[in-house]
Amino acid sequence: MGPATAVAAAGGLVYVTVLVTAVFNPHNSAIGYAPTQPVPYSHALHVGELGLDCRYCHTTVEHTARASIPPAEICMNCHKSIFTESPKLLPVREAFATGKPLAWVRVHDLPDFAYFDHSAHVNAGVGCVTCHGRVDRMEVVSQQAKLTMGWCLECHRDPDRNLRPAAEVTNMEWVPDEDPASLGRRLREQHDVNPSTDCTTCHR
Amino acid sequence: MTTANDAPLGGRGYWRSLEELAQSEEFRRQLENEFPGGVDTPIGGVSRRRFLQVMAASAAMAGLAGCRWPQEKIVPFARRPEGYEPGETRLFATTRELGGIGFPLLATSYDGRPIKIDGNPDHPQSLGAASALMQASVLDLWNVDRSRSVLRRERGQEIRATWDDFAAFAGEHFATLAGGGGRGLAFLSGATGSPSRARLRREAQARFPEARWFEHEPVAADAAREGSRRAMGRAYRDVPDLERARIIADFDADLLQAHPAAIRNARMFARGRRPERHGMNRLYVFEPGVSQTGTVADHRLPVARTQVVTALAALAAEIFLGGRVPVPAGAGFAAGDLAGWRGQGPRPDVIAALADDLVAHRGEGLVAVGARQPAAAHHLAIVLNAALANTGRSVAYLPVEEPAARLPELLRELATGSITTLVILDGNPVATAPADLDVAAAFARAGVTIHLADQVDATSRCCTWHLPRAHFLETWSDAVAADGSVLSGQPLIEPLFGSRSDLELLALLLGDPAPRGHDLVRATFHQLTGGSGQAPQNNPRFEERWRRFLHDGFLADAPPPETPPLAGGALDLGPGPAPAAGDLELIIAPDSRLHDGRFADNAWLQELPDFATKVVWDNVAALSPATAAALDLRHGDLVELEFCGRRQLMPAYVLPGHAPHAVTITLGYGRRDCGRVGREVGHDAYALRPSDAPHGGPGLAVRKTGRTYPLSCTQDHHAIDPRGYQEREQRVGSLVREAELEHYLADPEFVDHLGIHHPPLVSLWTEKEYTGHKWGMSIDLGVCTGCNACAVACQAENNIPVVGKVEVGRSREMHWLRIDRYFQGDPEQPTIAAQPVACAHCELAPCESVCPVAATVHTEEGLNAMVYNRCVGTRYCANNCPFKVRRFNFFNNLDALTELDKMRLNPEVTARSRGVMEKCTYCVQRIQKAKIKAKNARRPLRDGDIVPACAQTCPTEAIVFGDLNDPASRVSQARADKRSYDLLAYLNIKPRTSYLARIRNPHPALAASPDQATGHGTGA
Repeated sequence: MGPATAVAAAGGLVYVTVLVTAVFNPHNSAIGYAPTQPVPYSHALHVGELGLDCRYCHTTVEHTARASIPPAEICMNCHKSIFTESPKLLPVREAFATGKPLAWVRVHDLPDFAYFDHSAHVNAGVGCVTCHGRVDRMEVVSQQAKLTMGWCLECHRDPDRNLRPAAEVTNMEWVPDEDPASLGRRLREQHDVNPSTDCTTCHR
Repeated sequence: MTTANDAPLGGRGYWRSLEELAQSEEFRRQLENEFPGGVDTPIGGVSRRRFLQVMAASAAMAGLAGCRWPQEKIVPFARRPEGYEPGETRLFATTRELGGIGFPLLATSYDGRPIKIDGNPDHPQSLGAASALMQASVLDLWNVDRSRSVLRRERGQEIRATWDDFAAFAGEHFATLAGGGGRGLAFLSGATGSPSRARLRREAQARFPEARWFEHEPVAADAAREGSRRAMGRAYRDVPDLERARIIADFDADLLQAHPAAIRNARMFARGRRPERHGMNRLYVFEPGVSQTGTVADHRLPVARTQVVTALAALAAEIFLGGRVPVPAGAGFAAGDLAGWRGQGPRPDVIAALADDLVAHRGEGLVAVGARQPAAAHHLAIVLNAALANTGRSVAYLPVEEPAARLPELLRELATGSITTLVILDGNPVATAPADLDVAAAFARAGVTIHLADQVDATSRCCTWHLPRAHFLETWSDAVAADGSVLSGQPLIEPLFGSRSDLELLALLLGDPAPRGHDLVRATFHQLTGGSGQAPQNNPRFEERWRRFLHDGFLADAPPPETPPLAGGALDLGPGPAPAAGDLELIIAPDSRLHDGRFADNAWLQELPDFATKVVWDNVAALSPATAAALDLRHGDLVELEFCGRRQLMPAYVLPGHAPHAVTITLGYGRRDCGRVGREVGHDAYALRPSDAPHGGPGLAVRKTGRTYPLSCTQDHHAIDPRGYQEREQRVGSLVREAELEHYLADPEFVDHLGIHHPPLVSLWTEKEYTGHKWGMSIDLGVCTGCNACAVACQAENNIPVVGKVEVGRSREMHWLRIDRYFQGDPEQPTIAAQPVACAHCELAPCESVCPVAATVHTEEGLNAMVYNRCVGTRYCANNCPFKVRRFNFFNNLDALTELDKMRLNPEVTARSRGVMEKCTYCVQRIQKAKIKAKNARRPLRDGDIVPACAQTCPTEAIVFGDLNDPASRVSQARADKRSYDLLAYLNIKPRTSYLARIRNPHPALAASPDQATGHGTGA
């Protein structure tokens, strides 16, 4: 083996190692992902300051697989009467007037072969904040959790720490007033929450 | 090693093909070759070098492309339609017509895309089931070769045009025609029962009083109309009630498949077929080909088409001359007239038994005759039903419209030059006309020809205007179901290519510049429910009725069928019984998949194995083994058929159970004028079809060409080596278990005796306890007709790719659910059994223990899960699967789809890539969905919450699915049935899919001897 080949081999090794450990690592590639959206909608303002419930806009989260991004119509429920001239809202007004939808950029993007169901989690008492982070403090929505299979499985194997009473699911600031593990165990038994770790639970 | 030749036939002596039975040289070669030809063929057209180059390039790209997969957009509605939830399927009742009969359907829409068709569970003609053809018809919507534009043809030049161009032309042209009272105008269409069409036709007759109407339906029921006219004074269609019929005599009627009410017939037949409930019905079938109805018959007699009427006349003679039943008044004949027929035809003992049965079960019998039988046969059947008091009980009659004049008359008119404008509302008469009619030349004589069609086909190419026709899921329509009820058809999507429906075209020609299908159907509905003129706009009561009509899919109050008295028309049976062994007879039949050719461009149907032949992507000339031997023909020989002076090449297929002295060919293949899928697939049977003998007749000549023709047939796939063959042969009687009713009643445990006797089974593994749900399936072979509906349902639900004729020939078909078909006994008169086989989800699954990467594993609920992302494609699992139900993706089958094709994929099921194994999942997506729905509602899962696609569409309810840990579930009860057995139980694989043995109910006088009745012996 000549020195050139050896250098090339070593270089290749370094390249692959960096690729695997740094570039493909979800800590670096996914967490903090915050693409620019067509409308500078602030969750911090609407949820944090004004106190809108998640379900006001994400209407289907309790009974379908998808939380659903709201139609412009929902924005206009309020913005027909407030900030009616705001230039930031121009795309929303246009969408509402023309029927041509807004194209939001997906932030939380699971692989197509993973079938996540919002309703199953919300009804089991997993809070929005558990996977989405403190959306009520986000000016621009960013990804806060790894959303890798290992991360999903941590909770599916031991859901107790992430369960809360049904009424608090959308509450971003909720903290349990007792030992989270014992509360979680009680809720798990009460609602018969026994998440499966079978492949077919998420992959079909 | 001993050859398979030495092995005795085991069990009940089942065999899969004649090659197997005869142990032909070819079959033996196939056995000795572990993998059928082509399994190791490299991927077409890609050299190893090129492959490595591409791989190297893409690896380099991967490094550059960065760290995140492509950005995705979420595009919510600006205003979300009421009731719509993103990602949730919605169901719409609609309908599709075939041959003038409307089928009640339920279409599934996913985010606005129609992706699946099922039966409408609320309608008595469906009860949730849909045929294979209806299931597959969703694929036609997404066909890339659909016509996309209006075309105008001028001096041989094809010019793209728009609907506006056509409207401008038509406005002027038809105003001129209306000025002349419609003189010179003619309309041609297929059979239809649509009330809106009838209404628009009346309006057209008012505007164009001298216009002529013609009908062309390649598969028509003219003889039935004529027979009922002779017997009852006007045209009727029979509406059988198989729930009440205990003795069913099917004379080439194919009651469970080809009959207009086949879906309901099958369901009701099956309900009378469960031996443990209330007695069993008994089915006699006389037919030339091998139909699904024949498969489940207790007595099936293969007789040439022209001999069926002899058998029927012999039956009538037996009944009336025996003196037990008088000839009813108005029959049109006296008992003595039938003297010459007594004892004629095949198997007088079966005829005598049938006569005996029918007389003993007066009011609970049924005599049914097929559409291709002569009018006299229909006449005689009506008289028999009246004489036996069946009319009004197990059969009634529905008045039908007299058909318009037919194609030959149109051609005569065209030849005289009296027709100057011809409007063709549907169909493809140039390609589907009898061979003696030169339709293209005749059409050229009309100055203006307007053709509405979904593709630019042979007829379009002869017409001055081609107009794209809307798919039924794009348009408003209505139709009449087999029981006479009015069905509503509503669109699920806007026309993809600006196409319009026949109703909209008619309205356009009547002077409406912007016709809307919605308004047209709504106005018809208004008039059907007692109104007149246009539908009211702001009438809440009407609105409610209209919405209910659309929601339910039908008008509930159908006029009941009638029981008209006999009218006394003379019975014309001809000179006397035709000699049974005359010359060779040709039978021209609609194809079980392509019907008359209108489904030729449907890849699901092209790749669907025909029930009897198991041939895909081809039609064949089917003939019985004895006839083939007499003609010195072998399977796959290319033969030249000559009939009425016309010739056509066809591959021969030796079909056990086919009538002797007859050759059946099917319509719809060999089209040169359709899209990429169906173009030049198979051989055109229309080329042999004369207008005076549309179903064929005697006088066929068959010549060997000396050439052979490759047929792709799924029949002998998965044959194994000689040792394995012997083993399988030993086992086959234990795979399909059946007995005759008397034997079953005497020995209810007979299924256990038919299994392979084995020592107590010990597992190598620690067996798992299933404490939660425990999914399982049971398939009742007693009622499975092999109709293929489940196979297409599975294909649609699970995004199963189509691979084409060549790949199927290499055993690379992808169907998760296949239907095995076995023959038993005499090759000339075998009994036939169908057995759907999919992954049995064995508890001790042999596939799992050989997978090196744990890509196939068991779930807590006992599903044998296939994890696509782990699969590295060793195919060890498929080798170790005793049922051979695992399918390997040799290609990126789904990546090859066009963007339009991809629109029909079910997003709930992962698209599989090359190199990945796949197989039945028990529709795990439906299991998960039902579980989540129940859990969200904080209620336990109920039996019936989860219905896999195959079970949902099964016309006979043969397939049930559920929780084996719930003793009350239907599947647990089916498993507790004495008839229940597992396949290959002695391998200790513990399959979760079990089968119910078939019980046949022959007439006691014709029952087999006890030894034959179960075949107990060598298999044990």
